[in-house]
Amino acid sequence: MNRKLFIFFLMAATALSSCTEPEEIVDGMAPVYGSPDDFSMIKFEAPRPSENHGTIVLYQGYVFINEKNNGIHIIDNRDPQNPIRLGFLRIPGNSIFHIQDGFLYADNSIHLLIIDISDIKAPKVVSFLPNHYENSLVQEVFPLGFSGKFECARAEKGIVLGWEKKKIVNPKCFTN
Amino acid sequence: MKNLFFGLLAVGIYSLTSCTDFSSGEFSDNSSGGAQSGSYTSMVTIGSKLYTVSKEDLSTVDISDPAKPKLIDRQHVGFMIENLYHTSGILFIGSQSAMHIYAINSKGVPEKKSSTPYINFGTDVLPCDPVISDGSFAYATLSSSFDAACGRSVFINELRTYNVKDLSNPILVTTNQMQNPKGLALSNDKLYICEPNFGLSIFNVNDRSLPQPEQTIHDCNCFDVIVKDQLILAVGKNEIFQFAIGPNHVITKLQTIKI
Repeated sequence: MNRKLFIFFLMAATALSSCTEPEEIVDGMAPVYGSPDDFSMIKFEAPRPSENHGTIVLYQGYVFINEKNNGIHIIDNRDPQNPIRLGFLRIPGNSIFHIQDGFLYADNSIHLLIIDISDIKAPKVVSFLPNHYENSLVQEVFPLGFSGKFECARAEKGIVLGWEKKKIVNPKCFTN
Repeated sequence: MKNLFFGLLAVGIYSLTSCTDFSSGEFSDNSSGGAQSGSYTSMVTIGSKLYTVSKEDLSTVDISDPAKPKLIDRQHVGFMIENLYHTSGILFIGSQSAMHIYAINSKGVPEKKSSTPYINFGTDVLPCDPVISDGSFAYATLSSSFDAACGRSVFINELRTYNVKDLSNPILVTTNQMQNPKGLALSNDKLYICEPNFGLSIFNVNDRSLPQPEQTIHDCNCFDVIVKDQLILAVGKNEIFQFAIGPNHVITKLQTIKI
């Protein structure tokens, strides 16, 4: 788990501050947003290194461990002396999940998704409960492996798919 | 006119994660649908019902037909919820400031039994770790090390044991001082507690009201743990440590899963 210090500067009154402070334009990072209603990016991918993992579930000898805001690493651990990294189930925005009887219950920061994983390599979204996770944690999302100023993620713009380098104006967030 | 300005300074990533979106974590009896979760879970299933907690709410979803989930109940619990744990029809909810207990009624809907504040500290001092239970006693870890802090300035690292036989009136019966307790699991009279940068501490809870320190597995920097049958999975920063529990509770290291 990444334990970078993470600092927020939250301006309660952005308008007021921009009237009294000079505009600052810096090279930083900005979120790339996606729609929480677009499930087409949910797919099984090759294993990837964990950068910031969270919740763990053990299911039928398989280890599922969340990659915060991104999806779930899957490890075949039926033989604990020979664990095999199977792959990564990409679910943009996901931090919370549970598994029962071949179905994965997972958030995408906004909705509660129900995904048929009876064939883990071909996950199928079978339904979702809209806006189950309103007021999600998106504001706590930040660019991993980066030190400096970044544009704070804003829940109303969607879910964060990734980050891109950008000239940003008056950034309020930074990591070091 | 003054600028309104406030900053949350130097909040460790742990606080943003373990305090908010870690989920799952239960005793070995907390498995459901064949799945066993770590103690930071915030979703559990019981039969055809899925229970979820968000930062403030507890929801009940009917999943008897996964293609047509139905929200059947949603209620406000409190603030800064940490985890959800189920045992014997009782839901335990850990939050930064209190342990909440709900009993599930005949319709599958949780009914609030009690909220037990952990401490009467100032509002800037909040513990932030999960709670688990066997239905008679509940175990809550409270920690305040810097990298795990929720903006806390007071030093507190404890395991709290509550008698919850009366769900409406939990009683604190034992406090064990710890190094840095986080995720935990209960299995077969043993309580397993991850203490990042210290190790995996194991308590004997043959007497459920009085956890007795038994051993610490050092070189196991973990923040959450699952114990299922004779297998221990302890989640670390870059790996998942695995141990086998043998006869006489002799613990043997297995292959570490690199993640």
